[in-house]
Amino acid sequence: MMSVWDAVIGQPRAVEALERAVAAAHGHAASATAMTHAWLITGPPGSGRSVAAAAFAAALVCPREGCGECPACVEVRAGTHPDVELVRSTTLSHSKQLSSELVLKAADAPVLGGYRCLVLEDADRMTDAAANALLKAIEEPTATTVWILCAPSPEDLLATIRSRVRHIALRVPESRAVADVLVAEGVDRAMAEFAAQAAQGHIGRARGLATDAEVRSRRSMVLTIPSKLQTLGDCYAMAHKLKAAAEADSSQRLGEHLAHDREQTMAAFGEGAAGVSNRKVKEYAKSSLAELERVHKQQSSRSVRDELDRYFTDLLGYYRDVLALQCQAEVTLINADLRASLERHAANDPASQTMQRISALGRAREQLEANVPPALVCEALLVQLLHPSGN
Amino acid sequence: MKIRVEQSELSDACSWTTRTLPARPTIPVLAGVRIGAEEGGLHLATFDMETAAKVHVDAVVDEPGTVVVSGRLLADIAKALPKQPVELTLEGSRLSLRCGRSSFGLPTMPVEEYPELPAFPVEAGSLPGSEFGVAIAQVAVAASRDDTLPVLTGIRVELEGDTITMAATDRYRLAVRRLAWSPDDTSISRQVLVKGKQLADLGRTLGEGDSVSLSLGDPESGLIGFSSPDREVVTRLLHGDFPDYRRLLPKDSQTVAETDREELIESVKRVKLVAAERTTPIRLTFSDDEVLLRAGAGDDASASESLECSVSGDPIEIAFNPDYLLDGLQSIPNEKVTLAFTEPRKPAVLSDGPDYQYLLMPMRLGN
Amino acid sequence: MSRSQVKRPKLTTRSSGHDEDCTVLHVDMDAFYASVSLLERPQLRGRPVIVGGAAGRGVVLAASYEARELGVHSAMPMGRARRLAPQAVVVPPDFSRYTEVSQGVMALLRSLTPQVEVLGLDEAFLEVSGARRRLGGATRIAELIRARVHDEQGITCSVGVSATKFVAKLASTLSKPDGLLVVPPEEVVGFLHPLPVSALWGVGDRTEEVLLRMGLRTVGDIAATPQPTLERMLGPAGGAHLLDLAWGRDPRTVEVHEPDRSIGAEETFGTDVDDPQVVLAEVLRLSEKVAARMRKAGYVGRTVQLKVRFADFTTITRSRTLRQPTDTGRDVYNEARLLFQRLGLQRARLRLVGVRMSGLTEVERTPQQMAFDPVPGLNSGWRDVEQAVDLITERFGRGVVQPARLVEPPEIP
Repeated sequence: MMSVWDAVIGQPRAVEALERAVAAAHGHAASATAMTHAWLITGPPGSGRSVAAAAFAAALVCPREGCGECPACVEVRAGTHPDVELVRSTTLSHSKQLSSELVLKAADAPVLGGYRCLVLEDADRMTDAAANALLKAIEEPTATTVWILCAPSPEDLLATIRSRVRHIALRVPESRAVADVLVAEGVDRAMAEFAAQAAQGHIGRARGLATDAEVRSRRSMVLTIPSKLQTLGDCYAMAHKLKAAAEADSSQRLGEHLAHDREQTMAAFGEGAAGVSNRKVKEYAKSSLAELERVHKQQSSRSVRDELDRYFTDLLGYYRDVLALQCQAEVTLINADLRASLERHAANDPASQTMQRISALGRAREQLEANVPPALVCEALLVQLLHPSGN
Repeated sequence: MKIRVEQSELSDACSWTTRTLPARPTIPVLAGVRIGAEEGGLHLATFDMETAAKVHVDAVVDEPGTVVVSGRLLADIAKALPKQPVELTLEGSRLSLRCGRSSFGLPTMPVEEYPELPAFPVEAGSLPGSEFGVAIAQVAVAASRDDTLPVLTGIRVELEGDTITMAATDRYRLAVRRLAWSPDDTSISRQVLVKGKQLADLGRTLGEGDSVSLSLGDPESGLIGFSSPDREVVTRLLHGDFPDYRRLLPKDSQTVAETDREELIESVKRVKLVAAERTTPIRLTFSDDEVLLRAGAGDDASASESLECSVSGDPIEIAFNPDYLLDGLQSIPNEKVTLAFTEPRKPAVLSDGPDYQYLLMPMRLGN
Repeated sequence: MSRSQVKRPKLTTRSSGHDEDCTVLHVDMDAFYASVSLLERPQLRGRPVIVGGAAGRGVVLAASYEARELGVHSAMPMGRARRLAPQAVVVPPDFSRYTEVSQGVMALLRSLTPQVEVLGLDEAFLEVSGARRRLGGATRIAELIRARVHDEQGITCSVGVSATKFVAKLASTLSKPDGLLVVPPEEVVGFLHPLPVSALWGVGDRTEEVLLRMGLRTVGDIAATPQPTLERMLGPAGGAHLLDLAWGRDPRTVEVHEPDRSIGAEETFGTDVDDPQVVLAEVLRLSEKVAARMRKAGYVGRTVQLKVRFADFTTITRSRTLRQPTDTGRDVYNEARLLFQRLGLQRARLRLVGVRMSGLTEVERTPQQMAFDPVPGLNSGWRDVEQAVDLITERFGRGVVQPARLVEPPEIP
């Protein structure tokens, strides 16, 4: 039998807790306290926070607790269920304006009976003002409203919000589970296993690696950096290359999204109708298209940072492998395909330098999050990778 | 799907439903109108996730079916067609529209992506449409637009036997309207909170009909429905406790003034013009047979005007936000308006009879 | 050692005695923070004293003259100061005490003339052309100030007297500590010209370097330089300005700032606090206090400011403007609490919190839209309650009636 939980990969404990909550919400569970009105789903990037949140919302509004097939389940998946609000973050931060809109929605009665679910992805991107605006609504909910917030970790939220939500922690799914999903999607076993391992449990990333040769070649480019840094000049040249790759990647991806969204919007307003001038359709769609452009612009800055963060994660995996070899740890290499260069690094550099490089990568990721200009982050990072004890 | 329908019927139906179409839909498919053809006719439906509107149109249905097409495009085409029968046929993924010598082909959107319309609740009673429209407008004026307290953005609707009472307040004014209706069950006793903006829009769209029916689901239902013979609208209710507004209504008054409503409105507008800021109070002094209107606080009032007015009881000076005062005066349909006061720091009541009251808190000029 | 044994002000006047054309006084407290800190610790007088954070971290906030002789100066890292003056005593700063003493001094100055331009806690200019007639000459007034500051506050100050702000300030600096210097207009040029260029207002390290490179060492050198030359060196505005100063010309007048229309209160915690509940309870108490003071003074305010000082003395303020002016503690607290929560402090250690209302207008002249009360979740109606509390407080004293959260739970044995 199909179920909305099928999409939640490698999280048996979290799914069990959420299923208990759904059963309680539908009034047949051992313990009514299994359900509450505010939830926080946390987990590292790629662990499927928003997928789990959407599945939970679907199960709450589905009369069969998440069958995955009924109109309610289909609509939640398509984002058209009137009682489920999925708020995706497109920008670097959630504004107070957005919170105000959500607060109003939280007072809505559900139109289809059941629950009104407000899913806020990337709740960690709320500004303090935005979080404070939500406080009261989360604190004093109406009986049928359910808040589902997602964030990398509970610490990313204000303490005042944190104390008012029930926490479900997702873990990094095991490579095996990720590979199985890819195989089920038609990827061949060897490729699936390579991609799952290299993506370190990040499902979306694994799918990209398995299905897109360009994503694989970009990963190769990034992972040759450790071997190529010889002089400061190399660092600046590579930093430039890294940033340019991130920009190219993100603008391609966003460009595809924008083109797709434009197409959908124009179609909804009647593009291609026979006997009608297209100018007229453009006129109808004008305000929607303007909104699309605005959101797209906001997305691009965030998207470059996300892309760079992905590269940095690849590099982290690389140095983790080097460290594993240096310590002769019994772990599976993330980048088994690069064994030769990993071993060269492990033999030539002291482990303490590898540690310093790993912390430099950690710092660089924090800086990305803190809105430091990407070019600066890349340069500083590569210089530190070259001279780990330099500062 | 294959249907034949009169152009005027189709055009009217389209222009009515497309009023509820969002200009900037959150999901593209919501820019569409859903056309359903079944035995005996077709219906057009729109849904912006807040309010769903559905209209029935008599038609000859040769072949039933459901499609979603661009709402505004369909409305504009329908309006421009000659007054002849229109033939709608689904051909592949296109809806073809033929009328006289005109012919159009509209692309359709996937029906399964269109959100499910909420089920229409059970009819509870009816009342004349125009009265209903006026009453909503009279109350909606006092509903809050401030989202910090969602409850106050709503309009309280109470159905008690054969009386409907509607109330709204933004903390500064309170509008209460009572009107008679014909409930199906005379022992009905229900209270709901309807979104102010949505109800105000509804008042305008349904106020044209002869008779409007109200429909409610079971007490847990989050919906309220309004319908006229071939149209129905269903909208979300708000959750939350509306304040006990009845306690706010003053039981007696020290001063009662009656004056010509239009003249008072014009005076307030003129005096308001010279006020420095939007929130500069307008001071009203009622004595003997006149009311003196002044803008500003203290003795430096920059504009003043007086107006004939019958006053009974103690003279009083009281100050108001001019916009709030105008809102109240303009909500009263009669020629005369009655203003009742107790104290300069207590609410004033504007009314034109027992059925409508507009309570207005004064402005405090100083200690 | 009692206060009477403290070294008396010198009360000596270094001037030719012609003060008829002197109308500007510059009053500057001597080693202000250090002197005030010594008030509580008279046994430390005469010893090098450093005001600053705990040993090993932080910077020097102020140093007594004895410590300055050892090379310690303000803003120096504490560690370095300790190495330069190992015998020095380090005392922690007490900002509420500094404010208190400062307010006392400024009140004294304003009692002599309303023409007071306050510069920070420890400095002020006075314009005395009016007050001279009443009090008998600029020098007399300066002597009066020095004597009264000493007697009333127990600290010393130096006063410069001249016809311009610039020369008066220079005079007070040169007479420090505990001195008085009068520079009548006819002596200004003679007074200025031997001084090094760095004495001129606006000559910092960079400008000094430029001037020295061109061989200009004294103010007299500058005075003798043609204006176009100076302008080429320092830009048109800078050049002209410097030449004016070198000739003792300073067109600036004493600017009396309207005393800031704000009402505030702050509290330094006995020990640093990291519990937000404790901080908020204090914010509530301060809000009530500020609101009561506003009501007493007949003001309503629109802007709420929250001030927070951390254990390391970093101080931040945040403010928000309300839609409607208010004078209720409830409104003030609601905003202050929001401001506090927005700081997102995760149990940071706090030394002080403060609440201040500005944008004050007289309640008599401020129209306010009244609201129905009570509407759930809203705070209208509190004004009447709080006014009643004001009355009770007036009759029975503070603390009889207070918000429930401020009532300490009875101790359970």
